[in-house]
Amino acid sequence: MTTIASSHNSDQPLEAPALAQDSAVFLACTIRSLRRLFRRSDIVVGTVVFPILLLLTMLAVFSSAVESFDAGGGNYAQRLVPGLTVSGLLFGSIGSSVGFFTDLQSGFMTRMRSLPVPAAAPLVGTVAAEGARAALAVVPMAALGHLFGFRFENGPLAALAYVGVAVVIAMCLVWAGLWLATLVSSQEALISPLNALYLVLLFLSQGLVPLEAYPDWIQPVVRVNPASTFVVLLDRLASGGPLVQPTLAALAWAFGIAAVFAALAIRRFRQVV
Amino acid sequence: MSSPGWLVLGERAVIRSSRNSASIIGAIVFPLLFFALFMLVMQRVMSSRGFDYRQQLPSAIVIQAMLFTAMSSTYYVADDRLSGIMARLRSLPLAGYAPLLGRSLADVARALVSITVVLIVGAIVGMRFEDGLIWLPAYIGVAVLFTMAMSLLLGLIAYMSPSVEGAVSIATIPYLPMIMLSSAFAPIEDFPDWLEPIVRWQPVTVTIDTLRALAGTGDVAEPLMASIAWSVGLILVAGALGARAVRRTT
Repeated sequence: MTTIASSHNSDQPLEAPALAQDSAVFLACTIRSLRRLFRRSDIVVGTVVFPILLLLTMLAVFSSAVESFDAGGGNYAQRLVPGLTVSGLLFGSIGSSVGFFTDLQSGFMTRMRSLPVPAAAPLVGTVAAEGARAALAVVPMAALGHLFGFRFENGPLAALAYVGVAVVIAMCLVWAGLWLATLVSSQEALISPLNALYLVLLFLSQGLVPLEAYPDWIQPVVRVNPASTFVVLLDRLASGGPLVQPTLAALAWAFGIAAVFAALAIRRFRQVV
Repeated sequence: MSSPGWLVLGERAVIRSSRNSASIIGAIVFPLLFFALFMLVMQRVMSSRGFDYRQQLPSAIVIQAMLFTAMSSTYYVADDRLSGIMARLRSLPLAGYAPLLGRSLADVARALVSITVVLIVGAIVGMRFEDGLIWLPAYIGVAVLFTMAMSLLLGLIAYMSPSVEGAVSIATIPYLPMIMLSSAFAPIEDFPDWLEPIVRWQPVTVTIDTLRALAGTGDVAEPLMASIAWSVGLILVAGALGARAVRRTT
């Protein structure tokens, strides 16, 4: 069995033009995935409208309580923007998984397989589009947060790193949903478990309340929760503080999740398409 | 004498939802998940504000589950409308209000499942009917009336939607501000001053406050009247508009 990326190259004598062609195909697949994301009202609502409503309403409901509980913690928006950015990465990836599932069901993937393009092109396109979506989702959240006191206190370079980290995390996380999409037979069977899982990850992260707000027995779980490591890294990039340990923890989780679920997803993908 | 149309359609809606595992997950798993997560995340913060989640949270989760119920039914309403079932029903001698009323009765059946589960877990966590279980029927009645109102309102919106996914996502948008900008998760005094009047009088707040007063010892008359006014008003208005929309279906 050849690898996915090179499976078609055997009958193409010229490597250089093939590479250019492949890039064009990857780009086309990415653009297609992105355009589809923005054409579907439920995905736009989930990616853009819902996170913004969540930020506004969470600030209105919990600002007084969390700020008085966490006396040294300062402005609630400073905590909430990284938290809800991670929330957007988690829940937003469900939209990409749904799009991928639709492609599997509609026969688009099978059709792509019959064309002389890299078999990985639609997968790569989905993941690249997810990265672009994350970048597009992070910016309005930070901009809106700015109105309520959220600041990039570490300067523009750290702000860029903040966006970059969010994009990397999004492109890693989405593999879990893509793998599930190759296993299920209905959209609901895809959406409900992902929703439940991401809800738990979000609530048990440090993105909504500080660690000390949780009951003592669950604090170790909160600490190692992957979503927590993402929130802590984004929070450090925005607010300052030591970066080495949070970076290692967050990237270990992100790349670990990507490695495991990409391997599973690609294996299933080859079996079903 | 055969059963009236709305009852037959209600039965069909119950059968249809109960065949779908997602609606069972939505009725039981998600409310309990939110219950557990809010207890874990916010109980310490809120008890520092003198707001006891063990007593107050179950009523909020009940109403959140009622909103989930009404939201899930938008999928079926839009699907019936767009798949042509509704057009077929229109060829039968059936009242205009029958389809949406039937759907909302199925929602009430699902709501009763959610209420039961949440109250049992609430009792385990420490919620008490401080004036006795004599208030339990009223508690359930207020929640059920609210479910019907929301179900008819969202059903009307779903019925007008051009696509199923559009209906589902439109139904999602009011949910978040309605539940978050209410007394569900924090005391009303915690909100910014300019928002307080809206938060205090919107349907979710007055209904949750009624449930809390029925379970606790607070004054029940004021929130109860406001809650019934909202629910009955919405049932009449959304019900009438829904029936008119159904009659116009070709």
